[in-house]
Amino acid sequence: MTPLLATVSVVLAQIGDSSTQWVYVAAGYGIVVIGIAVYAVLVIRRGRKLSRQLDPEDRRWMS
Amino acid sequence: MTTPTEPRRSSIRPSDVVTDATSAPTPSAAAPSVRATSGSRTTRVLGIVLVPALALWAYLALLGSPADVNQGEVVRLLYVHVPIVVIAYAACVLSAVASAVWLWKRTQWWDLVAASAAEIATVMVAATLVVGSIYGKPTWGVFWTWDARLTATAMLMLLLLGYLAVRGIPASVEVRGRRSAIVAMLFIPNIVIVNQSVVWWRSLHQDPTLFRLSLSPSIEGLMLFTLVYSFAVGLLFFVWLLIHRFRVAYLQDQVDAVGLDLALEERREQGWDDGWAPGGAPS
Repeated sequence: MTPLLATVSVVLAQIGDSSTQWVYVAAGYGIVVIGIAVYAVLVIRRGRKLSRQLDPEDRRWMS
Repeated sequence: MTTPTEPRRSSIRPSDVVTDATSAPTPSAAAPSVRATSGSRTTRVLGIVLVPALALWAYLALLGSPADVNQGEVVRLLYVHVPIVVIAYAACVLSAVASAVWLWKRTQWWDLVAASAAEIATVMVAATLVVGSIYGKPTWGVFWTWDARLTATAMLMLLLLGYLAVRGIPASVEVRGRRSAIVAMLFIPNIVIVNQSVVWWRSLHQDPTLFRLSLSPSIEGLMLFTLVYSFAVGLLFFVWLLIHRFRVAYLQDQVDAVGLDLALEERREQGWDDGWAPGGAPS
């Protein structure tokens, strides 16, 4: 194997390892960020829905 | 605290309610300006601060910080894994402390703080387990193993689910608060076990990285800064979310109280129509 071919194969192997690792990173961040964002949105939407069922004086601490 | 037959609304004193520095007006004066949301000036300011803070966190975690010599790019998962663990710890401790104060003071404010923090802790511990599993596969070769810390964290998750289940059992405010406060007391010893498991037993997890007896962290430079910055942003997000969640819990109790008022009123009217009057004397 020529030195050039050996270098190319090493670089390709590193790129392969790196891209595999990025899949895990993307999966981890994607699941957590989307999951927590969905939870936060649900909390806020529930707050709006409940607020509409009450008279303004019953949610008086909100300004 | 109220008896089961009293509307829960009456148990909330003005001093128990979360108040912004700019608020605390009288009910009638506040009525026109109160919006139908769980937001306030405080949460809006926090939200505005959080947007660029989260953007910087994402940049540092995914691009700005270097890859690790041994772990490669996978180390970036720690910048989301560790902060959500810290949020989960903080939420569990807050829930336990608020429950203890509730058992002492018996004010609804503390009960709602405990419940809100516990629900957030449940979400964060679930996220911790998911990210931890994803981190474990390329690092240890498995998604899950019965390691001491993983097992203790799974137990914490079950405890939190149990807490939420106990709160879901129909009961008076007093009984609900007492039951859930007792369960929340167990959060603290469980967290101590989770935290110290890497010291007490042989574990796949590494020893403490930041909070070591030698006071010298085992990471440095931009990686250390990114990790500490992740804690700060995570805790800021926790405060923002906790305020919203607390207000939702308060609103839910208010709606329940109004519903109870209406049901009692309806029942009284029915009773009087049937020839029954309060005090047992026929009308």
